[in-house]
Amino acid sequence: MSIESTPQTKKGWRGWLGERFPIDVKVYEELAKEPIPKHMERWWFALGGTPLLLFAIQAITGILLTWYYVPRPDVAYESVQRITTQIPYGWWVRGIHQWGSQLMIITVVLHMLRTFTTGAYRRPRELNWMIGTGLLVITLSFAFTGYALVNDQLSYWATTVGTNMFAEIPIVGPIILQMIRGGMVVTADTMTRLYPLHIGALPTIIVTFIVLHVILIRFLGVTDLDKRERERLARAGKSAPANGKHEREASHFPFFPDHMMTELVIGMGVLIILVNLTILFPPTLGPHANPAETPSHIKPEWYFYPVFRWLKLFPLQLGLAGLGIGAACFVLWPFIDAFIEKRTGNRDVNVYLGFLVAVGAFVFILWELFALQ
Amino acid sequence: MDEAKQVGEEQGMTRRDFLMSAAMTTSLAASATVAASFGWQFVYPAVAQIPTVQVLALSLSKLPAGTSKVMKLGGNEVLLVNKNGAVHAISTVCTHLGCRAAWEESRRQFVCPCHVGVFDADGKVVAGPPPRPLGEFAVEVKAGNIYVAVPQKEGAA
Ligand code: HEM
Ligand code: FES
Repeated sequence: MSIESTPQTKKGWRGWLGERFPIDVKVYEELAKEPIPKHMERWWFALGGTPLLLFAIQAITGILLTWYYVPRPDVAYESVQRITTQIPYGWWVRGIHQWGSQLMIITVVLHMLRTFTTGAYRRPRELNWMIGTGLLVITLSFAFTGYALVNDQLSYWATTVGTNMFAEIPIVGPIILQMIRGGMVVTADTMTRLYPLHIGALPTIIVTFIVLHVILIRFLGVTDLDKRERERLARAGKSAPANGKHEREASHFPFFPDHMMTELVIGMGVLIILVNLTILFPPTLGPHANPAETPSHIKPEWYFYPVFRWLKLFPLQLGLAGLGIGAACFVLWPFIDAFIEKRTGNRDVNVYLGFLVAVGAFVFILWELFALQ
Repeated sequence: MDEAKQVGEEQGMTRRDFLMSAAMTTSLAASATVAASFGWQFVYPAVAQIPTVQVLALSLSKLPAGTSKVMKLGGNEVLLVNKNGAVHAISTVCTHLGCRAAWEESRRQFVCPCHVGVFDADGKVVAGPPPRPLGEFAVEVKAGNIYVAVPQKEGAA
């Protein structure tokens, strides 16, 4: 379609804009109406949009926080105190940002759990699963670097322990540790290194990953569970009804507006939860960081409990090696799964494993929550 | 000569082209290396090694054999132990992931609150995940006074 040869068919601002921004709206309408499989009507399957909504909220509240937050260790704590107690509705913005981060982690994990247990990472979607594991790591890095900014006792010691783990990486570990900390221990330079990560680098990286994630979803479509089931039956030699055109219409529905509506309803629910949590449990601030003394009741944020308990159970190197191997299996799971299926013919390992890991993590969280030591 | 050039062109590159791109690649690589080395120096922490300073702890007469005392020395928490006349200064920085282990006089052990590492009065691991005994600072007794070499604090944190 040459721009020159397109006659200006529309009058007024549509015509004006159409000439200067020559996109064919019809094509995009068509794209937005793309039919998607019926099972996506259920909320459990439509959880991917929720972290996106929450990230938008984090970006807005985060930018608001930067107007008063000062990332210098001598005044960081005081500036958070000022946001919480003096700036009108500062507690509100900080509370939304804090609870938003926790809900974002929960929804990312739920979304992951559903793609895992339904085998949505299988060929040809292996790369998108790996991009997804990247998104989880980025989300957790957001939470870790953000927590470090507060500079109260828990924040300081969480940063010390968290960064120290890098030192155990073979060969390059000590260098990485010093690069992150800007010195041997957590110092004035640590905060000025973590802050731009939290508000500049990580947002850029997460947006890039989200765009890649969505592009791949559009290219590959979401997994058609009905079709997969039919194929499975056919393989097993059982009668499998043909997939005619009518059937496709009956088993699919348009992305816009139907699926958009599901996303909106979930989004509304999440917003209601977010607002209520912020009102019921407004943000607090512990005592100022003190490098000379670790508080006797020290715990990270609850989403790090499984790792925290794990590190208590195993000697340092063994524990960290276990975490590293676990992380590698997690990223490469689509290929491990394909290998298991090829060897044993079993296609349900993901269901059992997903259930097991979820229950295990939950038990570890409860254990840490109620443990005395 | 003409023929040779033609053969060269058929293979996709003349000698002149080749020398040109080799020179360009080499100089590009050289400037990239210089830039990378500058960049590395910029991001690498200024203070890589914390210097130690010797500080006066207390007079030997205040720490008779068989006793111990927790002290703050130059921002470091240290347990001073007099073991049959030999004075040891044990660091409270946990060897697991860097929290401060607290000295508990009643059980005469260090307990780290982070992942419950436990150390005895010599700094040896008794329980929990820490991989090494607690660190020791060099002690010198001069004219009846105990001096301990501790790391200088790297900056306000
Ligand atoms: C563009 C995006 C973001 C910006 C500009 C931003 C900015 C900030 C700022 C200035 C603070 C320090 C003030 C404070 O402690 O309240 C902060 C804290 C924090 N941020 Fe972010 N943030 C962003 C995204 C995120 C995301 C996506 C997450 C997690 C999923 C997150 C998690 C946290 C956490 C846990 C804290 C500590 C909150 C507290 O205890 O008060 N942030 N952020
Ligand atoms: S940091 Fe002391 S036990 Fe982990």
